[in-house]
Amino acid sequence: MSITAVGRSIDVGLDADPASFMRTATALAALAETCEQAALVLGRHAQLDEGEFGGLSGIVYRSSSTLLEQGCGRTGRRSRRLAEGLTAFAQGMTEVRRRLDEAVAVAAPHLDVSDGRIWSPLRPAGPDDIVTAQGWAAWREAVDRWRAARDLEDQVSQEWVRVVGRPVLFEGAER
Amino acid sequence: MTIAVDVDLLRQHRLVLLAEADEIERGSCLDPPDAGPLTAVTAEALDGLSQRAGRPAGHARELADALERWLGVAHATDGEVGLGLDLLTAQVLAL
Repeated sequence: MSITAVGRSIDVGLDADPASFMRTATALAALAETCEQAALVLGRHAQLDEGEFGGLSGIVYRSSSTLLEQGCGRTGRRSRRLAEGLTAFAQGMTEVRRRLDEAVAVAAPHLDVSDGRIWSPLRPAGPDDIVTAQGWAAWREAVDRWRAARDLEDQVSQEWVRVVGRPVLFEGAER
Repeated sequence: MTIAVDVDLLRQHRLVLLAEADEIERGSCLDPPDAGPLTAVTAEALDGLSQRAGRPAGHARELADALERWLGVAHATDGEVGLGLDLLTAQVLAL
């Protein structure tokens, strides 16, 4: 979009709700903690002494406890990764919102800001038209800030997609 | 010939397994956030995690039930179980 085009607008809305990300991230961190604690407990079960549970039954029980420990550990790590990714996503989107608000603050004194959009001035500035010239200056700065915000939104979104799309192949690996 | 069995300890283990299963299942009910265009992707990831968390929770319950069956079959009230019975019943504890 040419920033000197007349009658254009930029969308300063943000669909995502950072507060709801943080709630889910907190729940994910709690699940990670639960799974990690369970893995610790099951790890102790897996080391039960022969004198407390001997024979083949004891061996099978320790083996099953080890499998459970590993399963809880994997789920805990996955949950922790998602919690951290979602927290970063929330923080990123909060920064996007802040930058969009800055664009609005720059534009508001000089331009039409309505319906979640900032509108360009309606005509080019003439040589002596100070008000319209100020409007165009505000428009250019608002567009620059808006572009920076949308670039950040794109980066943050791509990073979150990378986190949720991490191949299952790596799930068993330590972080 | 007998094997050593701490019946009280194994009964505690059973309770711990059930408690851990409950905790994990409680924690795995996750509300997907409003992530704008990424809401569906996010919901899918959280759903996958909930299903993943359900597996160890289910296995913990299975192992708790298996312990109960094993202790019931073995009648290990004196803290010792014969080797023959051990060989016959060990697989009930396999996940």
